[in-house]
Amino acid sequence: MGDLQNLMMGFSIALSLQNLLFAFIGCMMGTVIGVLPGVGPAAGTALLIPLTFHLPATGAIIMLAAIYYGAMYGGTITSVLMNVPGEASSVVVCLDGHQMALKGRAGVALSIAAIGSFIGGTVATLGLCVAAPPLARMALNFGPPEFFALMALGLSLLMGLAGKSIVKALMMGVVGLILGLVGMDPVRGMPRFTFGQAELLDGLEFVSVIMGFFGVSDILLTVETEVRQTVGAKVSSLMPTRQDVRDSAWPITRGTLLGFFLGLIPGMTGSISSFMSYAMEKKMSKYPDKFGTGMIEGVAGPETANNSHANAALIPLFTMGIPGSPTIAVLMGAFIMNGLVPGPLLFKDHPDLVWAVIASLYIGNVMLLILNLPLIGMWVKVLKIPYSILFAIILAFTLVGSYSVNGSAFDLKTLTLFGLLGYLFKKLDFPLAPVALTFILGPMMELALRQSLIMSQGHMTIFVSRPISCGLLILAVIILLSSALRTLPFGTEAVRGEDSQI
Amino acid sequence: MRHSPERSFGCEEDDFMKRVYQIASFFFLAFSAYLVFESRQMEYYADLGPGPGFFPFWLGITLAALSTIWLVQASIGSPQAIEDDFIPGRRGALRVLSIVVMMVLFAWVVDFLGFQLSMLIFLGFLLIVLGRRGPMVTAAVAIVGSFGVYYVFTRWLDVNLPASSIEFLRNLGL
Repeated sequence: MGDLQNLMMGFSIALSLQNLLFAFIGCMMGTVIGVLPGVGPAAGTALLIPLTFHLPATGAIIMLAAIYYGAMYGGTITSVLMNVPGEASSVVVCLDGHQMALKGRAGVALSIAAIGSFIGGTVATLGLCVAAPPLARMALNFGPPEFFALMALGLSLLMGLAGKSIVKALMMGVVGLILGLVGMDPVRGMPRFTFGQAELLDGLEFVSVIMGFFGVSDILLTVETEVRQTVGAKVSSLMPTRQDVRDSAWPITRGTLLGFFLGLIPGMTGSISSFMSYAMEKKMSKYPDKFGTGMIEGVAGPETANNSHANAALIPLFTMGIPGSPTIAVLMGAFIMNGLVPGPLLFKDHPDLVWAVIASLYIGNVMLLILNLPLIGMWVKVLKIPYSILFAIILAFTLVGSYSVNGSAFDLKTLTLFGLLGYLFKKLDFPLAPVALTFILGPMMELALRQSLIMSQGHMTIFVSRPISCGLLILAVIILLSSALRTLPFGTEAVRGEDSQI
Repeated sequence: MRHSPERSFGCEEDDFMKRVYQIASFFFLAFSAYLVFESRQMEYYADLGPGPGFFPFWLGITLAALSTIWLVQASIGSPQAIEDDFIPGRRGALRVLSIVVMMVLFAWVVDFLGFQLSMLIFLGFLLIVLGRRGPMVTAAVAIVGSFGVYYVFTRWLDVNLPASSIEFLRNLGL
């Protein structure tokens, strides 16, 4: 069956009333997650996984994917209206978006952001349809050494870009790999680092670890200080002028392309795309000095890039089983929980599911465009819930989410422990994105490494004797070295870390 | 919020951050030593190739090397300003501690008291003591968050949440 026919089949599944409902619920919940400051897309998606436990696999993935890209849309609303980014990718939108709001042009900023997001997301999904099947076929020829090298490249990119200190990013990457060791050894089935706890035989529960690192730790950091409720700007007319559309057209085009290509690279996060788009627009503008004062280009470009990135980032997941960001890692975990292994075999073994999810991305993008603008008033009301109530509700949901995965109180202890660890790591300026990725990829990396060494009877040369793995590893080393050189003078920059995800 | 590098700080404050980073790197070094030690108890190499101890051993060595580099960077690097928000105020620290304690307590009692009662207490405490909300708001949020969530998850979403292991409470539907 051709790819176009497969896509049509995907549409026929995604357009069923049940799956439309799942996509709709996912879009709404994702937008709420994006709107709420303090709940990032990674923790938010993990938080809502339990809601999908008893859904059919296709419905569950459609809903979780909708939560993921819905959060990308929603993050913009708080950035523009309140100067508070709902998620990391929207930080840069605060610069000009909020300035526009202060000038009474909040509605225009939100309209252009939604239109740009729609175009970026839809074009990237088209790219996904075209690029993913041949990439998956190519990946079928990859052996363990190539997979190991590809994962090493993805991680090196993430760590190289993760913060000011490459040492801290690498340390976090290693910590994630170590956390992935807990449980059964992937080759011999021998328990490791389980401390005699039967609950740890299957490894640390990833939902609890991710929610602890990204959800609970954020709440602990926020409650340290008295949180004051922010007053948002009023939403004016949503209709952009002809000049606004003209000014936004090229930034949207450039943002779409930039976000798409950066999204293809494992390790690149959406925030990098939006920051790069902003920098590009500023450089290409006739009035770079006016950026930061309410230029529509500063909203259109980054918002488009962010959403184009979000959809394109699904390509490495679908074709090679490699998550490019913590949120995609959570999505990958959801695939695995539903008995599906993301990677080249997904297109071959589950074409109905994968094409239905791809089709749902188109539908979800249309839904978000239609829903978001008229519902802006409702999202603003969500923001009026005082944080002193909100933090308790979020914590309650993390507890419910963590418990319901295995029905085990042990996972609640894991959640608390990793919440506290995440809090301490953030205090020490360690970037957390590398931990999330290496934690998910750790067992796969170990398996690929050990299988490679079994193939070569223990010779490490297998990684350099095969051209693809050799090329990928050289690239990984170059990226790490260039990042290390950037921080070589042993000064403050090198000692502090911080997350590029913010 | 961080101090700008231009702001001057006393030598003691500069040393404080250095000391914090040094202590943290020692923790990482101790953890790597534990990892290497444990991995040596496992098979490092077998006929088929690397054994279960192979990966943890090299991860331990790598973490130790990175921690050492960080320790050196922290020790010989330029002094750093102590961050405004690094040490929470007394009330802030109490709030953080209260949440952690409440989460641990919840984990401890949830199978015993059941989800509904445990969550009612959890939310009630957080909203009254930390959130300083009035009794009406607290009651509404705590009841919806405990009984409401239990109903929705168990009846509609088919997700199992624990009932109390105490017969009397279980008979009351808790």
